Amino acid sequence: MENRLKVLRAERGWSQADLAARLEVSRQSVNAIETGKYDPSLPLAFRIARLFGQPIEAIFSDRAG
Amino acid sequence: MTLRRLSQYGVAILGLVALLTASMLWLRQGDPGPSQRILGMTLVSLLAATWAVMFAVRLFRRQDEFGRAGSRFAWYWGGAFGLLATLPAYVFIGMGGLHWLNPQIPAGPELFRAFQLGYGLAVGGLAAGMMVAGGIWWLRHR
Repeated sequence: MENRLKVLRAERGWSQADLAARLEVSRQSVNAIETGKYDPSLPLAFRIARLFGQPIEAIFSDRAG
Repeated sequence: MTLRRLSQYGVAILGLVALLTASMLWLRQGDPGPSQRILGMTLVSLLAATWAVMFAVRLFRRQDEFGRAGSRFAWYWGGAFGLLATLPAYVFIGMGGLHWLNPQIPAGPELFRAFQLGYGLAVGGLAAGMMVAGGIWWLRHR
């Protein structure tokens, strides 16, 4: 999966630690998601979407699709 | 690693050390009989295992999903390969390989049975635990 998490975070001027605190996950989790090394679960993807006020598909996209 | 998590590890390790120290003192100074010694130390090991399980559960629950995914990966692949890697070691030692390498190391059927029992307990416990946990998971997610 690909995602726009890094861009969205940068637009708000948040560090990875800031975003991690808002999502209640570790900074390592945010880094792994941003670099595409870890795909979040649906509940976490929904939390991310709610936080940025965007639909999930605007943040995450399937490489194959 | 956060200070809170570090302190939890500290409490877990201190608890185990305290338990082991208390049992060592009891063995040395209390001079219990053989049956008391066996029952007492079995109870101590049960307490130590319960203490460790308590902290393992707490630490797992405190992890976020990324950390849990890492733990699952490590336990599944590390545990499975670690388990399989013991098989040739089991055969080598069971066949008297250590005695063959160093004749001063004793060998014989009694030692082999003791070794077999120890190996069986460790591997059997791990395999049984994995099957029970797997069974619980499947039942919960039917």
